[in-house]
Amino acid sequence: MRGRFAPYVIGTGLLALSGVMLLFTFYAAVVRQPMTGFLLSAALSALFGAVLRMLGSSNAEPTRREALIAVLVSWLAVPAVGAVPYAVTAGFGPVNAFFESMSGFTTTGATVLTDFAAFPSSLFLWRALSQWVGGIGILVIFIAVFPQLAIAGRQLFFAEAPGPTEERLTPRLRHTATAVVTVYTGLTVLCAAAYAIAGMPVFDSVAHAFTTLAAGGFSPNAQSFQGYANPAVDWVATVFMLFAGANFALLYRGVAGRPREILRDPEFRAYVSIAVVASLALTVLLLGVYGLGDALRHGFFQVFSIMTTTGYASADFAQWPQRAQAVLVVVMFIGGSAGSAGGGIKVVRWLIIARNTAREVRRALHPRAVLPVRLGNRVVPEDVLRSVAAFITLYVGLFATSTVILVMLGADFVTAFTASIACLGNIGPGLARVGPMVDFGHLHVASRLLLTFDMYAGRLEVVTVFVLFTRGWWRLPRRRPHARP
Amino acid sequence: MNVVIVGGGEIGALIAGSLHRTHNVTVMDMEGEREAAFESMDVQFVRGNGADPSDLRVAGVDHADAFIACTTNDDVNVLACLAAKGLADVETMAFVTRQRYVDAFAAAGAFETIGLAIDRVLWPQRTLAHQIADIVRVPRALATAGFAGGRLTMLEYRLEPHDPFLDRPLGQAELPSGVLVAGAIRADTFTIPSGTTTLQAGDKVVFMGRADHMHALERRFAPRRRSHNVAVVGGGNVGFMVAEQLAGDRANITIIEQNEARCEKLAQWLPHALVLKGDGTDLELLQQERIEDADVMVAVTDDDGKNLLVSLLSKQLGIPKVITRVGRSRNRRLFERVGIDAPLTPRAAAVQEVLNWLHVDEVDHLASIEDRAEVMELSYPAGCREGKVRDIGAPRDSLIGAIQRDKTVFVPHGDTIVRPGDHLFIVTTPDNTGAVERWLEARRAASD
Repeated sequence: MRGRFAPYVIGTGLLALSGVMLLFTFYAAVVRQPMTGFLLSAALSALFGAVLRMLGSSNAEPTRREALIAVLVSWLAVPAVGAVPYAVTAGFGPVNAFFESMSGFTTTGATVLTDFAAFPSSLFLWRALSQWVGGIGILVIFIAVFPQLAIAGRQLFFAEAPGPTEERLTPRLRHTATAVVTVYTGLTVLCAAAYAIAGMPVFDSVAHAFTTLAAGGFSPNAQSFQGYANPAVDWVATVFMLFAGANFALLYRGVAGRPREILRDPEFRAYVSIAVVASLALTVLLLGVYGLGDALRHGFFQVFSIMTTTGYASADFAQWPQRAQAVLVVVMFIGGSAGSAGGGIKVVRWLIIARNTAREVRRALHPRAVLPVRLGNRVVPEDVLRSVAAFITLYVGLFATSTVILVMLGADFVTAFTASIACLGNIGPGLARVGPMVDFGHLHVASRLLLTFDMYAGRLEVVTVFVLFTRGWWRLPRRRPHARP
Repeated sequence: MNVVIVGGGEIGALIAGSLHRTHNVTVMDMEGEREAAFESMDVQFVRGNGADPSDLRVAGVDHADAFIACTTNDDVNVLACLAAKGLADVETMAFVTRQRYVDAFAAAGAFETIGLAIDRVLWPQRTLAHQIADIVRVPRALATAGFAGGRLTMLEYRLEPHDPFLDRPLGQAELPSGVLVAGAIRADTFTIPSGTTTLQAGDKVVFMGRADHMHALERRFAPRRRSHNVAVVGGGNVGFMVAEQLAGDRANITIIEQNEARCEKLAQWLPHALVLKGDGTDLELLQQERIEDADVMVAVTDDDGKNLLVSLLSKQLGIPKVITRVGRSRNRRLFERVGIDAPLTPRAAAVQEVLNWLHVDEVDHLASIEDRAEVMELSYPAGCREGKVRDIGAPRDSLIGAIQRDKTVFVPHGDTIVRPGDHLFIVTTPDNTGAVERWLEARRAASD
């Protein structure tokens, strides 16, 4: 049953999208807003989805290549069809519509939207929901698919403590995936309630809850969180962003009766430590601009927002002193935890790289020593070290290339630099002319396409996408007559 | 007591050697030529398979009180114990050499299934590792032992020229209170000291005292309380277990092991130890890693020759304390002869445990000091007349090192009164243990 798994998966994804789009059509009809965009999108996805699903087969045993194709194509096809409402209803050009849609499904939060007042609320809700759905998609891929394929070191991050492994893989994966989605949904509901209680309008609460847990960052308010001028809302967002940047599988284990595991997890500890230290540093640097209370609030909010790759703004940080902006640029390169919907390089990879570096320093002193790289109680295998190193090299390489191209296409350096990392890291806003209160629409059309690719590549852990650029990938498997035993 | 021993190897011979004079011992082995080792002893030798019930019957398991399986094969030992338990109501003990058996018996649920069939599982390597870790923990000590539930401690030191207690009669030496000198070894002979004995540099001295008073003694010998740097050559089971036990003491542990795969495992299991891949006799490696700065060297490879070489090299590098594993018991004297301070054999330690387990005649043979002296625990029989230590007439070459009365332990002097029911800890030479037992027997008879 070769070659039938990818169409099945992509078709299923599109059919699900068509269902969501039908719901939005009804919603738009109820609130008396234009519904043609949603209806068209629903029809397109239903058509392509049904065809692909008929071609495919669910009990096909996917090869590595097929699993990769399924992931890579789904992440293009779904945003493409999801872009239709932006184009039809809001009148976006194809590049902008695809940019906005990709920014949604990759939970980036970068926008080309200028006129928030002219944008119908149903479209805001769709924008928020696309991030939430993208969050689920990426969580399942991070936790169930990429570890299997050993991509970018992910085989390590979710391996539980070593023990008897007679349990078959599939039920455990399904269990983990279900658990993670449960936590994600539960936290979203709690988050929406908390926003509403803190004083945010109900519609905005729901829209923000969708994008908070997905570490997305789309806001129906043109000024993001600054527009509410409500400190309580900012603090609620900070707390939920903290959760959104954590490993959901770990959170589930914590909720399911092993709360100590959360505190013992090396990535979680490093994640919280880095975020808190950076927040306090930012607070100190903001003391000249705000009083202590506001400095603390903006310091924590903005560090968590950028580090978890959410991308909300409680203030226009592009106007802050350069020193304060520097802190944000540093955390842009860190990212959240490996089991979150956030993007970026991820804390655990930095941990592994740091330990590996420390080991090399120690080896200079003890050349004959056997020094394993440890993560908690586990030893990091050498192949994971190699994968992580390759991942970071590729990531930084793509970031640098993208920056240079953006500068060539006319952007100033800070804009180009931060736009690249903000899109590659699925953060959203950058600094200068792509700051939180401005949009990406003024960039060169080629720049916008490149940034769309950055979002896509960053979301799929770069390595996955770069497989496409190898010659081996395009060499089709030769068909051989099967030797029957 | 009827004792059946399955396995006529070195351990079997050592156990039989300690028991044959006073007990009815039967040794069983598959190989008939092993009988030669037992010819000088008063034991019955049966040729047969220890796991075969009919062979066990021939060996007299039906009438046995204790059954010890100590072949070199773990599976045979376990099977033999199961078979013996099935045949008769006998106490069983199995020797094992591998971790997984120990783990299996320690696992939850093991008790219901096999725990009743095997009364005691003995892993000689672990016993040895415990012993080594205990010695490492006390700076400069060459041997340690604890009795009476840890309330009584015995320590052995080699006296250096600057040490206390030298060159004057022991009667005038200012020993910490609650501590006495239980023996001295000079030029290969063990003597039980009296007040007029004079200690000299180079002597090995055995101290005995209450555990809470021994710290004062330890400080007299080594003001620094801990061994900071420990080097272990050989990362097998023993080396690993030693390092594991010392890890809690915040010591800097360096393990040198040759096998690369084993090194990786060790590095994984022992996060706080530095694991070096290399040969313990590679002088360049030892110097590069500044092994000469170690406080203790523990040489525990499987190869006696290498252990000896590493130990001599370490002494030459100036490491103050060297602990050496000796695989073959007969090498031990040889090692001592060439100047190894603390040669330890897993087998001797294991045999000691067997003897304690058997509780022979209410007399506990607690420990032997380099095979030259023994510590016995005896109870002063009820009904005996109480009397001063100097008056109760303990035999020559024996010393009452400590007395346990109810829960308290104390070190006696000549005027201390011994009461019926007291537990006496007596230090004596191996030839003299019979005399001590006879003496106590006579005291009891006299009181009847």
